[in-house]
Amino acid sequence: MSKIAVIGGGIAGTTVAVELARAGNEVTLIEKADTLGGNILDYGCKAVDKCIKCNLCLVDETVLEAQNSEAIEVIVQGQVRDLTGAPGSYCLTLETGGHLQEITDLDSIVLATGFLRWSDLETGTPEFSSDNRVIWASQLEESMKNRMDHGESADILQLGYNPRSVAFIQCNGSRSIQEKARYCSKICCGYSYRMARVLKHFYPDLEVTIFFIDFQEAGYFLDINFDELDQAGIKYINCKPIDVSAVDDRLRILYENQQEGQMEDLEADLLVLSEGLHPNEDNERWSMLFNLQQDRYGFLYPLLPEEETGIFLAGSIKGPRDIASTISDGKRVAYRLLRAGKKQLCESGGQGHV
Amino acid sequence: MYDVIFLGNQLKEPSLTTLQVDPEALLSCRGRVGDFSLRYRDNGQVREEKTLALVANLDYEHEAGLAGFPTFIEDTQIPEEGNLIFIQDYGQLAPAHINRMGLEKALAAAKGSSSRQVYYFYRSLRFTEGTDDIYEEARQAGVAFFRYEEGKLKVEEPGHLTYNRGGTSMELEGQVLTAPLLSPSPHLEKLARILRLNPSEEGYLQEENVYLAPTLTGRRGVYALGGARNPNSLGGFEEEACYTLEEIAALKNDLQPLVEDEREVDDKKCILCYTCYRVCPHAALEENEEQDAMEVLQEACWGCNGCISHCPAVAISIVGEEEEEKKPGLQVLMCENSAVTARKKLPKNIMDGFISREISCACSLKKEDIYAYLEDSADRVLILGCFEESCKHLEGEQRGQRIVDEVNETLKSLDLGEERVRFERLSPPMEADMKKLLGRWREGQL
Repeated sequence: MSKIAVIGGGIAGTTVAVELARAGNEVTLIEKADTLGGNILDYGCKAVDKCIKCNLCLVDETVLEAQNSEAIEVIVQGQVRDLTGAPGSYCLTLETGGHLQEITDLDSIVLATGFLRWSDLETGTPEFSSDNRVIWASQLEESMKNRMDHGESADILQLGYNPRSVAFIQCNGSRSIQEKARYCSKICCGYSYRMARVLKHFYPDLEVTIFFIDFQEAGYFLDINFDELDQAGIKYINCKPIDVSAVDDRLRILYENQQEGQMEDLEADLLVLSEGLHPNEDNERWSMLFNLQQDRYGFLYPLLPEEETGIFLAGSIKGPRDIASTISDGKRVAYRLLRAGKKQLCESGGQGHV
Repeated sequence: MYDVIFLGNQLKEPSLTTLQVDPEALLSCRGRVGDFSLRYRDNGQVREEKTLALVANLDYEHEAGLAGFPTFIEDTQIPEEGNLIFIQDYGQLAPAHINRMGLEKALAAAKGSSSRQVYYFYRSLRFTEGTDDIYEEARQAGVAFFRYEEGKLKVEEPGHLTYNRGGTSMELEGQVLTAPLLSPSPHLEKLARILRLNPSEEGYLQEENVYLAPTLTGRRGVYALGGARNPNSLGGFEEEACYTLEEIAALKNDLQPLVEDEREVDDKKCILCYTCYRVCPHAALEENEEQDAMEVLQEACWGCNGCISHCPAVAISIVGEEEEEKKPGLQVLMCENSAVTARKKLPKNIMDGFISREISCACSLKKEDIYAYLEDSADRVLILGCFEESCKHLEGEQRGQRIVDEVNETLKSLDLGEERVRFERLSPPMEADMKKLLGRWREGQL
């Protein structure tokens, strides 16, 4: 039996904690917020008349299990302040509610503190932040959280007005050199695609347009395809819009019609901006405290083999990941931790042969 | 006894004992995770081997994306001289790894020779981990990328191509390599039958279901990898292979049943009709020849109770569970995989005024039970189950809906009222929906 601390109570952290606890270890799960869950607390199930595999339901049970498991001690409102000791006998200093507290004799530590949303960054304010018709994906989510469709004429959007046409802009806050985020955030394509389908389900007459650069492979089971978007009546335009302006009571979105090679306008009365994933502000501190390296964007990777240091990284602290990949990464980290010291598995993984 | 038997391509893993079996030679598969027994033909003889787990790892079938031209696949030798034209002619999105493979080939070709031009034509690109960097590098190495719309690219004869877009047109000479179109291996149909798996619509071994990510199948201990799984593997093959082998290593280390309660077949009642064998979505029932009765394989059982409700001889039961006390006026049945979790997040009094019961899956519903509830003064019965693609027991949603439809039809034909039983779908994060649903059910507004 080992004593392990898991820092971060989101998808990755709870998955690792539950797997380790099931294997008979003593786990302390440290969360800085008031409750476990992390980002998933702000999101709701996307099922319409059928499940469109947002994978959110997979997390719920894990979080409940982490809360109720006897082998897991959950510390909420806990901030990690210091780390001392060596592998096998680490000591973490926490601050909880103004008090310092030490967790000693830790064999391993799992860091799973996740990502930061683009909208949470100061520089991430859209130009039209004052216009309530330009919203973040998370604001749309919030307005739809209490959605429900069982025959009633649903007032789902709860925006104070009823939009006739909605546009989504992809790659906002990622794949951009100015924003120091050339990478793809991996979750927004799938998110907007699902959200567009939810909107189309509740408001069949709504015009929905998605601006995109390249559609990403966005989940183990999400097979976005253009035909399906077409069938659902969702328009897609291959361009990142150039300008957004308010004209009369509508928004005018200027973009390049690449097929024709000319500028065109699209009018909408709601613009949803996707939110790129960015490295957490704490990452720099973690890199010094736990002897880790930041990549050129600020995500973390280990300097030495995790099996040697006993410091493991899980989930989107390493780079953007969607729910399904975060869960499978969490499980893999747990297995690797359990097998640490033994010979590394799967040296030659073979090839996904075509 | 092996740790893994690979059906198709074998992976090397020093800490696990492995064996490769040609899927064509496979004859039968019995048993359960930890103790599968495989029979197959080997040099004219029938052999039998035991294994802890099974991995179906096969290549995709592929054909040229553009008729008449060679495809770029992993084994394709890229010519060392002359201009190259890569064409990715997918109407829909290409599987990400094909995209990656094409970019890698183009990059290698551009780097390998400075005297050649490499062109890359595509209708859509799809990226996965690391592809961004390869794309960037390929551009820097001089690969010219062109997006085209359907019908705007003409390849009239081998090596000669015309491109038109927004007033730009050009003609190019070079060797054309096209992206392959993928389809499931022809072995998969047979494998699905012998391994008792429910294939996806396209014919891959993994059904579209949230519980099966990334390489699991409905049968515990059987995994689908590569071309056996799905053309859209996200994290790439290597990640999935590692995940799978680590899962198997964990099973080898400690194999526990998934559910605490044991299900048992009464050998005196069992009539060997094989109904449970057909019904079980997890292939957890098998004939025990010594007892002349079916047997539940505990390690394979996911605990949906579908067999119990379908058994015509009432021969299957949960060990130690007493006959359920009939609650008069029962109104709400909740599936433990969705509604029960959602309810835990709501205030306790949310069920006030309802008599409710937890069920393991909508597939465990019995018509006679529903009639009994209705008879016992319940005016109507609400069943809260899961969505099809997030049903843990794969077919529970369809089975539940069918039973509800049949009950309603019977009641209507006997003039006993219409739509007295209702099936609604929820997921664990849908507590707000559940609250409203219960409110409206209470007021008779559904």
